[in-house]
Amino acid sequence: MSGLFGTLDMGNRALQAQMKGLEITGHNLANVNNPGYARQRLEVASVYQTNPTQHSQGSGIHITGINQIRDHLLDAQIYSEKSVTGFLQAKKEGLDYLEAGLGNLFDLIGEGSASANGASGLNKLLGELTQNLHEVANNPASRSARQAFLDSADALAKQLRGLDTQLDKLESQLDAQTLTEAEEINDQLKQLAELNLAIQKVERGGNQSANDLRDQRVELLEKLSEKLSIDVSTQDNGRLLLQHKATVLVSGEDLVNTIAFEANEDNQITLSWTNDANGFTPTEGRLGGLIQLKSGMLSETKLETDDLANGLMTILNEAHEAGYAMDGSTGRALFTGEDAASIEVNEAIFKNPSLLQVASRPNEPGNNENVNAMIQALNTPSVSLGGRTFSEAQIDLTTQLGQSIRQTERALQDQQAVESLMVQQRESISGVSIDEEMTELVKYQRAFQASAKLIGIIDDMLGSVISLSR
Amino acid sequence: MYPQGLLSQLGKLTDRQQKLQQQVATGVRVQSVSDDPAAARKMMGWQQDLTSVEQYRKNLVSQQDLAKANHNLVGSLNTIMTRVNELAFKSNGIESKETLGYYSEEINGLIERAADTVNSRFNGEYLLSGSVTQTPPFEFERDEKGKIIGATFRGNQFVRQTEIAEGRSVSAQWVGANDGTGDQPGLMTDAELDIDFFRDLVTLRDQLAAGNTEAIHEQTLEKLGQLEDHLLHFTNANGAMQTRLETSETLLRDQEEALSGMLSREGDADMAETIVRLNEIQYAYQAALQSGAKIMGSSLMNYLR
Repeated sequence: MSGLFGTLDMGNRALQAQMKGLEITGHNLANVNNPGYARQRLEVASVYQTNPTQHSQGSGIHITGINQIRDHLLDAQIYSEKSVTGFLQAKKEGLDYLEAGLGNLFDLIGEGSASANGASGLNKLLGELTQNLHEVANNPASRSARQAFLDSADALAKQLRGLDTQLDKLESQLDAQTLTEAEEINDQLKQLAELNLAIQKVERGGNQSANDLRDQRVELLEKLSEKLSIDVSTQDNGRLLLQHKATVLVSGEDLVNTIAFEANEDNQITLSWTNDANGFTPTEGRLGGLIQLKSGMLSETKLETDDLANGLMTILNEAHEAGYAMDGSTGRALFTGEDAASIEVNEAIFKNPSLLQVASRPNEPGNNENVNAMIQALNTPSVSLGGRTFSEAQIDLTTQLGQSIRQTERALQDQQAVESLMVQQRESISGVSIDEEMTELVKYQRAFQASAKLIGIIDDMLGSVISLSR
Repeated sequence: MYPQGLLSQLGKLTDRQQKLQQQVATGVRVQSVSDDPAAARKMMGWQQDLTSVEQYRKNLVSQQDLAKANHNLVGSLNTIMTRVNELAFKSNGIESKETLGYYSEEINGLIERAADTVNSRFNGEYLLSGSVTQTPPFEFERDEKGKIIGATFRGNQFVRQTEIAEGRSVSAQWVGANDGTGDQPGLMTDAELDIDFFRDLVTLRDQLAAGNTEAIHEQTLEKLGQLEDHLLHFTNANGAMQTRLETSETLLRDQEEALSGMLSREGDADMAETIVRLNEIQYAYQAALQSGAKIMGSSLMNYLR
């Protein structure tokens, strides 16, 4: 039996507990729109006194802690999904940049409807080139027909150079982005080590849980996982261990490894770990996306573009060189250059269309045999283009790029759906529900009122006891 | 969490609406290669085919023009030959040297007309010169009175081939002469067939001038008949070429229509279907907005005092 004062004390403790409950509910409600927040719950237990002389009896409530409702397994799954999303997101951003830069390459219709055949890009330019070549065949001596063909050849060369420039720009953009991402990762790793230290300080006594700091840490880990795939675990001493594959990045408050980067002579960026000095190639996260886009699709497209330019030069130069110009000269190449970056129409011919080698014999202005051979060569599969015609090769290049964009878009959409499902699942566990908190609010308010009533009654009873002695 | 889910749903519906609206506004389903790479691949191939067919039609028109120019040329020569034959026949039994002299003069005029005709140009090029299109095909030798006494061919045997379908080339071009070494029959002179327009007409003119009507009827008339047949052969060949070109044009037009139809089916938007789908998405968007706003607006708070 605790007596009146004991009961008064019990009421006081109950008031404090309900008040704490109200405070936590208020904190939860205040963070209802904070995506990184996990709702908190007041943990209480009844105070139980055992007295061998008396019947066992409880004596109120006491606060045992404030818990966060968090599923760590789900958090780890979200980190992993965020890495995949980050990977695809970075890849898509790069491809979007490329698509915007090469708008007319991908623009299938141009103006008008599909049946109006208003194609643009390489397909259109190739069509114009072939048509103008036919016009030269129809009017071999016509200066305007020759000029029109040379203009279309120049436009095609410019388009190939433009494609190469855009690919170079994307490469520099990806390099710059890779460096930015690596710097941000290093910054976040540092922040994480600092947060770990702060959490350890708060929780050192064992009585307190640094819930809000832990929320911040989860948010930071999520941001980090978007950039780099991470594994998070707890060590035996309770400290957090952050790894990328087998490399330890942060152990508790110690920052073990950050990313070091350097560019070689060819401007190729290599990444390594500062402490372990091992080179690494990330395959997930934004960093992985950027690196894979550069070393995969971008470098393949650059090679394909060079092949296309070389193929065009080989096919048309070979046929052109065999012909004769109006002045009887022969052996000139139609295109000069070595790759997509340098392809251009032979300047001498471009300035003087009569040097276009149209005839198969000298001094025959009406001879179109060599132009016909050039038309034939364009329509014949070439070894220099992997057994394809120029038209097939350029369609392959364009549609492969389009396919990559489409696939990445689809994969990203699917991945975002998966991630959103995971986040929803976590929200259903850790998220704040206004309805639930309102119920808690009512519950604590009523309990507070009831405990206050108990104190009032004890107060009356104490008054009665005091009045007995008068 | 609920508002986030709602926002992502609304975002998806907005994207879909935008895409369909764009399709309705442009009438095009596959605007960019990344919209549908598989369809784009087919469309790009067809676009190339369509461009080729369009060009083949242009090539065909240029050959038709050339064939018409040749038709006019051979037509003029036929007219000349008709009058030449008429005069040759009429000379039979005429003994008046003066009359025969008039005939001879007329024949000379016809030879000059024929000389102008065979050296005529079309589209800035000499019709019968082969590939030396800037050189007049025939050079004429004249006597002291300026009369044509012989013609020398300055052109060559080349005829310009033009592609009118994939792997199929034609040429409506004729050459002025064949010295027996070339593949092309010569219009005015052909050694293999022993045809020489100017030689025979000059002979006739000189025979008329000399009053040698006997030789005309014994030899020259036969030669003139051969010449007429030769020109008739070219007239017929020209007709056959024009018919062939017309047939090819019909085929190309059919191909063009088929390719346009294929491109349209693959790349153009089916308006009825697209508009219905757009309406569906708009309803879904409105329903999401309405239901979302209702759910977000109601909570336990509305019922607590």
